[in-house]
Amino acid sequence: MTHLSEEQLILYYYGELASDELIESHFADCPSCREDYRQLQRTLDSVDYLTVPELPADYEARVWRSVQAGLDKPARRRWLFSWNPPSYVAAGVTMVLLIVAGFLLGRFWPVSAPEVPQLSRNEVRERVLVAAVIDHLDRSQRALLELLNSQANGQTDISSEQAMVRGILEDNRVIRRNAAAGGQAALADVLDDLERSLLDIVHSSSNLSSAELAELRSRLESQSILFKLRVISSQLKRRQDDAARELARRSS
Amino acid sequence: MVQMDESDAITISLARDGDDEAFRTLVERHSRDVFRLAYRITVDQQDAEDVVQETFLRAYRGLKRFQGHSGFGTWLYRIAVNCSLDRVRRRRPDSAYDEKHVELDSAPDSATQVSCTGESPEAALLASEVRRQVASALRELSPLERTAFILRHFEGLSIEQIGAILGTECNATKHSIFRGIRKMRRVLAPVLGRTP
Ligand SMILES: [Zn+2]
Repeated sequence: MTHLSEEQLILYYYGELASDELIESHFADCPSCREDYRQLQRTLDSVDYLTVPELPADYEARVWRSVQAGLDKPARRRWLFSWNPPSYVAAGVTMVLLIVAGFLLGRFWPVSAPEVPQLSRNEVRERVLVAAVIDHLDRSQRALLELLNSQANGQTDISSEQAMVRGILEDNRVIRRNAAAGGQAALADVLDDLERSLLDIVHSSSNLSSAELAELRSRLESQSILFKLRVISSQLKRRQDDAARELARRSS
Repeated sequence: MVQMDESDAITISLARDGDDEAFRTLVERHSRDVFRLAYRITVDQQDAEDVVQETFLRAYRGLKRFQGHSGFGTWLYRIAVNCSLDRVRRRRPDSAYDEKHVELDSAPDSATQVSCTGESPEAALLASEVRRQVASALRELSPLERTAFILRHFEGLSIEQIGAILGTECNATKHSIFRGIRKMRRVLAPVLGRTP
Protein backbone atom coordinates (compact mmCIF):
# COMPACT_ATOMS: atom_id res chain seq x y z
CA MET A 1 0.00 0.00 0.00
CA THR A 2 1.34 3.46 -0.92
CA HIS A 3 1.22 5.77 2.10
CA LEU A 4 -0.08 9.28 1.95
CA SER A 5 2.50 11.97 1.28
CA GLU A 6 3.11 14.93 3.57
CA GLU A 7 1.87 17.16 0.74
CA GLN A 8 -1.43 15.32 0.58
CA LEU A 9 -1.84 15.57 4.34
CA ILE A 10 -1.15 19.32 4.29
CA LEU A 11 -3.65 19.90 1.50
CA TYR A 12 -6.14 17.78 3.40
CA TYR A 13 -5.59 19.80 6.58
CA TYR A 14 -6.36 23.04 4.74
CA GLY A 15 -9.29 21.61 2.81
CA GLU A 16 -7.52 22.14 -0.51
CA LEU A 17 -8.26 18.71 -1.99
CA ALA A 18 -11.03 18.30 -4.52
CA SER A 19 -12.18 15.32 -2.50
CA ASP A 20 -11.27 14.06 0.96
CA GLU A 21 -12.52 10.58 0.24
CA LEU A 22 -9.18 9.03 -0.75
CA ILE A 23 -7.50 10.34 2.41
CA GLU A 24 -10.25 9.29 4.74
CA SER A 25 -10.58 5.79 3.32
CA HIS A 26 -6.81 5.41 3.62
CA PHE A 27 -6.93 6.56 7.24
CA ALA A 28 -9.53 3.90 7.93
CA ASP A 29 -7.01 1.16 7.05
CA CYS A 30 -3.70 2.76 7.99
CA PRO A 31 -2.77 3.63 11.58
CA SER A 32 0.66 4.87 10.49
CA CYS A 33 -0.77 7.60 8.22
CA ARG A 34 -3.31 8.46 10.89
CA GLU A 35 -0.45 9.01 13.32
CA ASP A 36 1.47 11.08 10.75
CA TYR A 37 -1.54 13.25 10.31
CA ARG A 38 -2.06 13.65 14.04
CA GLN A 39 1.47 14.99 14.36
CA LEU A 40 1.09 17.34 11.44
CA GLN A 41 -2.13 18.58 12.98
CA ARG A 42 -0.43 19.17 16.29
CA THR A 43 2.29 21.26 14.67
CA LEU A 44 -0.09 23.32 12.60
CA ASP A 45 -2.50 23.81 15.50
CA SER A 46 0.35 25.02 17.69
CA VAL A 47 0.98 27.88 15.27
CA ASP A 48 -2.25 29.42 16.51
CA TYR A 49 -0.52 30.24 19.78
CA LEU A 50 1.22 33.06 17.99
CA THR A 51 -0.41 36.32 19.01
CA VAL A 52 -0.64 39.75 17.45
CA PRO A 53 -0.23 42.85 19.64
CA GLU A 54 -3.41 44.45 20.93
CA LEU A 55 -4.28 47.66 19.11
CA PRO A 56 -5.82 50.73 20.76
CA ALA A 57 -9.56 51.24 20.33
CA ASP A 58 -9.02 54.31 18.16
CA TYR A 59 -6.49 52.58 15.92
CA GLU A 60 -8.54 53.12 12.72
CA ALA A 61 -8.80 56.86 13.38
CA ARG A 62 -5.06 57.10 14.01
CA VAL A 63 -4.29 55.29 10.78
CA TRP A 64 -6.56 57.61 8.88
CA ARG A 65 -4.86 60.68 10.37
CA SER A 66 -1.44 59.43 9.40
CA VAL A 67 -2.60 58.42 5.93
CA GLN A 68 -4.32 61.74 5.43
CA ALA A 69 -1.15 63.56 6.42
CA GLY A 70 0.67 61.58 3.73
CA LEU A 71 -1.79 62.45 0.98
CA ASP A 72 -0.09 65.41 -0.61
CA LYS A 73 -3.17 67.31 -1.59
CA PRO A 74 -5.52 69.72 0.08
CA ALA A 75 -8.61 68.20 1.63
CA ARG A 76 -11.33 68.36 -0.93
CA ARG A 77 -15.01 68.56 -0.25
CA ARG A 78 -17.37 66.79 -2.50
CA TRP A 79 -20.89 68.00 -2.71
CA LEU A 80 -23.83 65.73 -2.84
CA PHE A 81 -25.03 66.66 -6.25
CA SER A 82 -21.71 67.30 -7.83
CA TRP A 83 -19.82 64.25 -6.65
CA ASN A 84 -19.11 61.43 -8.95
CA PRO A 85 -21.60 58.65 -8.51
CA PRO A 86 -20.50 55.07 -7.99
CA SER A 87 -18.92 54.11 -11.27
CA TYR A 88 -20.95 50.98 -11.76
CA VAL A 89 -24.17 52.91 -11.31
CA ALA A 90 -22.82 55.67 -13.48
CA ALA A 91 -21.92 53.30 -16.29
CA GLY A 92 -25.36 51.76 -16.40
CA VAL A 93 -27.42 54.88 -15.97
CA THR A 94 -25.30 57.04 -18.23
CA MET A 95 -25.57 54.38 -20.89
CA VAL A 96 -29.35 54.34 -20.64
CA LEU A 97 -29.50 58.12 -20.69
CA LEU A 98 -27.23 58.28 -23.70
CA ILE A 99 -29.30 55.71 -25.53
CA VAL A 100 -32.51 57.54 -24.70
CA ALA A 101 -31.01 60.90 -25.61
CA GLY A 102 -29.57 59.47 -28.80
CA PHE A 103 -32.89 57.96 -29.72
CA LEU A 104 -34.76 61.15 -29.07
CA LEU A 105 -32.20 63.22 -30.92
CA GLY A 106 -32.16 60.95 -33.91
CA ARG A 107 -35.88 60.93 -34.02
CA PHE A 108 -36.82 64.52 -33.41
CA TRP A 109 -33.86 66.59 -34.34
CA PRO A 110 -32.64 67.26 -37.81
CA VAL A 111 -29.01 66.25 -38.12
CA SER A 112 -27.97 69.75 -39.06
CA ALA A 113 -29.70 71.37 -36.10
CA PRO A 114 -27.71 74.30 -34.77
CA GLU A 115 -28.53 73.57 -31.13
CA VAL A 116 -28.58 70.12 -29.68
CA PRO A 117 -30.35 69.74 -26.35
CA GLN A 118 -28.27 67.61 -24.10
CA LEU A 119 -28.00 66.69 -20.52
CA SER A 120 -25.14 68.63 -19.06
CA ARG A 121 -22.53 66.64 -17.27
CA ASN A 122 -23.82 67.89 -13.96
CA GLU A 123 -27.35 66.90 -14.78
CA VAL A 124 -26.24 63.40 -15.63
CA ARG A 125 -24.35 63.16 -12.37
CA GLU A 126 -27.20 64.46 -10.33
CA ARG A 127 -29.58 61.95 -11.81
CA VAL A 128 -27.21 59.09 -11.31
CA LEU A 129 -26.70 60.10 -7.74
CA VAL A 130 -30.39 60.45 -7.06
CA ALA A 131 -30.79 56.95 -8.45
CA ALA A 132 -28.09 55.64 -6.11
CA VAL A 133 -29.69 57.28 -3.08
CA ILE A 134 -33.12 55.94 -4.01
CA ASP A 135 -31.61 52.50 -4.34
CA HIS A 136 -30.05 52.83 -0.89
CA LEU A 137 -33.36 53.97 0.63
CA ASP A 138 -35.19 51.05 -0.97
CA ARG A 139 -32.64 48.60 0.33
CA SER A 140 -32.97 50.05 3.84
CA GLN A 141 -36.75 49.83 3.71
CA ARG A 142 -36.58 46.20 2.64
CA ALA A 143 -34.24 45.34 5.50
CA LEU A 144 -36.41 47.09 8.08
CA LEU A 145 -39.58 45.50 6.73
CA GLU A 146 -38.00 42.11 6.97
CA LEU A 147 -37.38 42.67 10.66
CA LEU A 148 -40.77 44.18 11.35
CA ASN A 149 -42.54 41.33 9.60
CA SER A 150 -40.50 38.40 10.88
CA GLN A 151 -42.45 35.74 12.74
CA ALA A 152 -41.75 35.64 16.44
CA ASN A 153 -42.17 32.22 17.99
CA GLY A 154 -39.89 31.79 20.95
CA GLN A 155 -36.29 32.74 20.15
CA THR A 156 -35.70 34.53 16.85
CA ASP A 157 -32.28 34.57 15.24
CA ILE A 158 -31.79 37.91 13.51
CA SER A 159 -28.10 37.52 12.68
CA SER A 160 -28.66 37.45 8.91
CA GLU A 161 -30.74 40.64 9.09
CA GLN A 162 -28.00 42.18 11.21
CA ALA A 163 -25.37 41.27 8.64
CA MET A 164 -27.43 42.95 5.95
CA VAL A 165 -27.95 46.02 8.12
CA ARG A 166 -24.22 46.29 8.80
CA GLY A 167 -23.54 46.63 5.06
CA ILE A 168 -26.28 49.22 4.70
CA LEU A 169 -24.90 51.12 7.66
CA GLU A 170 -21.54 51.67 6.01
CA ASP A 171 -23.10 53.01 2.81
CA ASN A 172 -25.43 55.13 4.86
CA ARG A 173 -22.53 56.83 6.57
CA VAL A 174 -20.93 57.82 3.29
CA ILE A 175 -24.17 59.03 1.74
CA ARG A 176 -25.20 60.93 4.88
CA ARG A 177 -21.87 62.75 5.14
CA ASN A 178 -22.11 63.83 1.54
CA ALA A 179 -25.71 64.91 1.91
CA ALA A 180 -24.82 67.03 4.94
CA ALA A 181 -21.80 68.51 3.18
CA GLY A 182 -23.91 69.26 0.13
CA GLY A 183 -26.49 71.17 2.14
CA GLN A 184 -29.18 68.52 1.69
CA ALA A 185 -30.35 68.92 5.27
CA ALA A 186 -33.66 67.08 4.99
CA LEU A 187 -32.05 64.05 3.41
CA ALA A 188 -29.18 64.14 5.89
CA ASP A 189 -31.64 64.25 8.81
CA VAL A 190 -33.53 61.22 7.61
CA LEU A 191 -30.29 59.34 7.01
CA ASP A 192 -29.23 60.31 10.51
CA ASP A 193 -32.43 58.84 11.95
CA LEU A 194 -31.94 55.80 9.78
CA GLU A 195 -28.44 55.36 11.15
CA ARG A 196 -29.77 55.37 14.70
CA SER A 197 -32.35 52.71 13.88
CA LEU A 198 -29.78 50.61 12.08
CA LEU A 199 -27.37 50.86 15.01
CA ASP A 200 -30.16 49.82 17.35
CA ILE A 201 -30.58 46.66 15.26
CA VAL A 202 -26.86 45.95 14.99
CA HIS A 203 -26.35 46.39 18.72
CA SER A 204 -29.20 44.07 19.67
CA SER A 205 -28.42 40.51 20.57
CA SER A 206 -28.71 38.21 17.54
CA ASN A 207 -30.99 35.88 19.40
CA LEU A 208 -34.10 37.59 20.60
CA SER A 209 -36.94 36.30 22.75
CA SER A 210 -40.35 37.22 21.38
CA ALA A 211 -40.63 39.94 24.05
CA GLU A 212 -37.28 41.44 23.04
CA LEU A 213 -38.21 41.30 19.37
CA ALA A 214 -41.50 43.03 20.10
CA GLU A 215 -39.59 45.70 22.00
CA LEU A 216 -37.16 46.26 19.15
CA ARG A 217 -40.07 46.52 16.73
CA SER A 218 -41.94 49.01 18.81
CA ARG A 219 -38.80 51.13 19.10
CA LEU A 220 -38.40 51.07 15.34
CA GLU A 221 -42.06 51.86 14.85
CA SER A 222 -42.03 54.73 17.32
CA GLN A 223 -39.22 56.34 15.33
CA SER A 224 -41.50 56.06 12.29
CA ILE A 225 -38.35 55.59 10.27
CA LEU A 226 -40.10 53.63 7.55
CA PHE A 227 -42.51 56.47 6.98
CA LYS A 228 -39.69 59.00 6.73
CA LEU A 229 -37.84 56.80 4.27
CA ARG A 230 -40.94 56.50 2.12
CA VAL A 231 -41.51 60.25 2.09
CA ILE A 232 -37.97 61.18 1.15
CA SER A 233 -37.71 58.44 -1.39
CA SER A 234 -40.93 59.50 -3.09
CA GLN A 235 -39.66 63.09 -3.19
CA LEU A 236 -36.50 61.90 -4.89
CA LYS A 237 -38.50 59.80 -7.31
CA ARG A 238 -40.62 62.80 -8.19
CA ARG A 239 -37.46 64.73 -8.89
CA GLN A 240 -36.35 61.91 -11.18
CA ASP A 241 -39.64 62.05 -13.08
CA ASP A 242 -39.48 65.83 -13.41
CA ALA A 243 -36.00 65.58 -14.80
CA ALA A 244 -37.10 62.93 -17.28
CA ARG A 245 -40.01 65.12 -18.43
CA GLU A 246 -37.67 68.07 -18.75
CA LEU A 247 -35.41 66.05 -21.00
CA ALA A 248 -38.36 64.95 -23.10
CA ARG A 249 -39.58 68.54 -23.36
CA ARG A 250 -36.19 69.81 -24.46
CA SER A 251 -35.91 67.07 -27.01
CA SER A 252 -39.27 67.58 -28.67
CA MET B 1 -9.50 37.76 5.15
CA VAL B 2 -12.61 39.79 5.74
CA GLN B 3 -15.40 39.50 3.25
CA MET B 4 -15.15 42.94 1.85
CA ASP B 5 -16.24 43.09 -1.68
CA GLU B 6 -19.97 43.48 -1.56
CA SER B 7 -20.31 46.23 1.01
CA ASP B 8 -17.21 47.91 -0.41
CA ALA B 9 -18.52 48.28 -3.94
CA ILE B 10 -20.21 51.64 -3.51
CA THR B 11 -17.46 53.01 -1.30
CA ILE B 12 -14.71 51.98 -3.69
CA SER B 13 -16.43 53.66 -6.60
CA LEU B 14 -16.77 56.86 -4.63
CA ALA B 15 -13.18 56.72 -3.43
CA ARG B 16 -11.95 56.09 -6.94
CA ASP B 17 -13.75 59.20 -8.05
CA GLY B 18 -11.80 61.21 -5.50
CA ASP B 19 -14.13 61.14 -2.50
CA ASP B 20 -11.83 61.30 0.52
CA GLU B 21 -14.57 60.45 3.00
CA ALA B 22 -15.18 57.23 1.12
CA PHE B 23 -11.47 56.45 1.15
CA ARG B 24 -11.45 57.11 4.86
CA THR B 25 -14.18 54.50 5.23
CA LEU B 26 -12.02 51.98 3.39
CA VAL B 27 -9.03 52.80 5.59
CA GLU B 28 -11.09 52.43 8.73
CA ARG B 29 -12.68 49.25 7.55
CA HIS B 30 -9.46 47.44 6.65
CA SER B 31 -6.65 48.88 8.76
CA ARG B 32 -6.79 46.21 11.47
CA ASP B 33 -6.68 43.38 8.96
CA VAL B 34 -3.75 44.94 7.17
CA PHE B 35 -1.93 45.46 10.47
CA ARG B 36 -2.43 41.82 11.49
CA LEU B 37 -1.09 40.57 8.18
CA ALA B 38 1.86 42.97 8.19
CA TYR B 39 2.74 42.11 11.77
CA ARG B 40 2.84 38.40 11.04
CA ILE B 41 5.10 38.89 8.05
CA THR B 42 7.44 41.44 9.62
CA VAL B 43 7.15 40.32 13.27
CA ASP B 44 7.67 43.90 14.30
CA GLN B 45 5.07 46.30 15.53
CA GLN B 46 6.74 49.45 14.22
CA ASP B 47 7.33 47.89 10.82
CA ALA B 48 3.73 46.69 10.71
CA GLU B 49 2.43 50.16 11.52
CA ASP B 50 4.59 51.66 8.79
CA VAL B 51 3.37 49.02 6.35
CA VAL B 52 -0.24 49.90 7.13
CA GLN B 53 0.33 53.55 6.33
CA GLU B 54 2.33 52.82 3.21
CA THR B 55 -0.25 50.31 1.99
CA PHE B 56 -3.08 52.82 2.13
CA LEU B 57 -0.99 55.55 0.55
CA ARG B 58 -0.12 53.26 -2.32
CA ALA B 59 -3.74 52.13 -2.52
CA TYR B 60 -4.89 55.74 -2.68
CA ARG B 61 -2.57 56.49 -5.55
CA GLY B 62 -3.37 53.24 -7.32
CA LEU B 63 -7.12 53.23 -6.82
CA LYS B 64 -7.75 54.67 -10.28
CA ARG B 65 -5.99 51.65 -11.72
CA PHE B 66 -7.93 49.17 -9.60
CA GLN B 67 -10.17 47.42 -12.09
CA GLY B 68 -12.16 45.28 -9.75
CA HIS B 69 -11.17 42.05 -11.52
CA SER B 70 -9.48 40.66 -8.46
CA GLY B 71 -11.66 41.96 -5.66
CA PHE B 72 -10.64 44.82 -3.44
CA GLY B 73 -9.42 42.59 -0.62
CA THR B 74 -7.01 40.67 -2.81
CA TRP B 75 -5.75 43.89 -4.32
CA LEU B 76 -5.19 45.54 -0.95
CA TYR B 77 -3.49 42.44 0.45
CA ARG B 78 -1.18 42.33 -2.54
CA ILE B 79 -0.05 45.85 -1.77
CA ALA B 80 0.34 45.06 1.94
CA VAL B 81 2.32 41.90 1.22
CA ASN B 82 4.65 43.76 -1.14
CA CYS B 83 5.23 46.53 1.40
CA SER B 84 5.91 43.96 4.14
CA LEU B 85 8.31 41.94 2.01
CA ASP B 86 10.15 45.12 1.01
CA ARG B 87 10.69 45.85 4.66
CA VAL B 88 11.84 42.38 5.58
CA ARG B 89 14.24 42.27 2.64
CA ARG B 90 15.64 45.69 3.42
CA ARG B 91 16.92 44.35 6.74
CA ARG B 92 20.30 42.70 6.69
CA PRO B 93 19.67 39.10 5.64
CA ASP B 94 21.23 37.57 8.74
CA SER B 95 19.30 39.82 11.03
CA ALA B 96 16.02 39.15 9.29
CA TYR B 97 14.11 38.37 12.44
CA ASP B 98 16.94 38.30 14.95
CA GLU B 99 16.57 41.65 16.60
CA LYS B 100 12.87 41.25 16.62
CA HIS B 101 12.51 37.98 18.36
CA VAL B 102 13.60 39.42 21.69
CA GLU B 103 10.58 41.65 21.67
CA LEU B 104 8.34 38.82 20.62
CA ASP B 105 9.74 36.32 23.08
CA SER B 106 9.55 38.64 26.03
CA ALA B 107 6.14 40.00 25.17
CA PRO B 108 4.13 40.39 28.37
CA ASP B 109 1.62 37.88 27.16
CA SER B 110 2.67 34.91 29.19
CA ALA B 111 2.01 33.52 32.62
CA THR B 112 0.38 36.41 34.45
CA GLN B 113 -1.97 37.48 31.72
CA VAL B 114 -3.20 34.04 30.81
CA SER B 115 -3.68 32.93 34.40
CA CYS B 116 -6.18 35.76 34.82
CA THR B 117 -8.45 33.98 32.42
CA GLY B 118 -8.61 30.98 34.69
CA GLU B 119 -5.93 28.78 33.13
CA SER B 120 -3.47 27.14 35.46
CA PRO B 121 -0.01 28.72 35.68
CA GLU B 122 1.46 25.52 34.22
CA ALA B 123 -0.79 25.70 31.19
CA ALA B 124 0.03 29.37 30.77
CA LEU B 125 3.75 28.68 30.94
CA LEU B 126 3.42 25.90 28.44
CA ALA B 127 1.47 28.17 26.12
CA SER B 128 4.10 30.84 26.30
CA GLU B 129 6.84 28.29 25.64
CA VAL B 130 4.97 27.00 22.58
CA ARG B 131 4.49 30.55 21.38
CA ARG B 132 8.20 31.23 21.72
CA GLN B 133 9.08 28.08 19.80
CA VAL B 134 6.56 28.77 17.06
CA ALA B 135 7.97 32.26 16.61
CA SER B 136 11.47 30.90 16.28
CA ALA B 137 10.29 28.17 13.89
CA LEU B 138 8.67 30.77 11.67
CA ARG B 139 11.95 32.63 11.50
CA GLU B 140 13.45 29.65 9.70
CA LEU B 141 11.21 30.31 6.71
CA SER B 142 12.21 32.52 3.81
CA PRO B 143 10.07 35.66 3.52
CA LEU B 144 8.14 34.15 0.62
CA GLU B 145 7.53 30.80 2.35
CA ARG B 146 6.51 32.61 5.47
CA THR B 147 4.10 34.89 3.65
CA ALA B 148 2.51 32.06 1.68
CA PHE B 149 2.11 30.09 4.90
CA ILE B 150 0.62 33.03 6.81
CA LEU B 151 -1.89 33.73 4.06
CA ARG B 152 -2.93 30.08 4.05
CA HIS B 153 -2.89 29.41 7.76
CA PHE B 154 -4.03 32.66 9.39
CA GLU B 155 -5.89 34.41 6.63
CA GLY B 156 -7.55 31.27 5.32
CA LEU B 157 -6.86 32.11 1.69
CA SER B 158 -6.91 29.39 -0.93
CA ILE B 159 -3.72 28.48 -2.76
CA GLU B 160 -5.18 30.11 -5.84
CA GLN B 161 -5.80 33.41 -4.02
CA ILE B 162 -2.33 33.30 -2.50
CA GLY B 163 -0.84 32.81 -5.96
CA ALA B 164 -2.77 35.86 -7.14
CA ILE B 165 -1.33 37.92 -4.29
CA LEU B 166 2.26 36.69 -4.55
CA GLY B 167 2.25 36.47 -8.31
CA THR B 168 3.30 32.82 -8.23
CA GLU B 169 2.03 29.81 -10.15
CA CYS B 170 -0.18 27.33 -8.37
CA ASN B 171 2.56 24.70 -8.04
CA ALA B 172 5.17 27.17 -6.85
CA THR B 173 2.73 28.51 -4.26
CA LYS B 174 2.02 25.02 -2.99
CA HIS B 175 5.70 24.22 -2.74
CA SER B 176 6.45 27.40 -0.80
CA ILE B 177 3.85 26.31 1.72
CA PHE B 178 5.11 22.70 1.81
CA ARG B 179 8.71 23.81 2.31
CA GLY B 180 7.69 26.26 5.01
CA ILE B 181 5.73 23.68 6.93
CA ARG B 182 8.53 21.11 6.64
CA LYS B 183 10.98 23.60 8.16
CA MET B 184 8.60 24.37 10.98
CA ARG B 185 8.02 20.74 11.75
CA ARG B 186 11.76 20.19 12.06
CA VAL B 187 12.02 22.94 14.67
CA LEU B 188 8.82 22.16 16.50
CA ALA B 189 8.97 18.37 16.57
CA PRO B 190 11.26 18.15 19.61
CA VAL B 191 9.10 20.63 21.48
CA LEU B 192 5.77 19.11 20.64
CA GLY B 193 6.77 15.48 21.06
CA ARG B 194 7.69 12.83 18.53
CA THR B 195 9.70 13.56 15.43
CA PRO B 196 7.74 13.77 12.22
ZN1 LIG C 1 -0.66 4.90 5.09
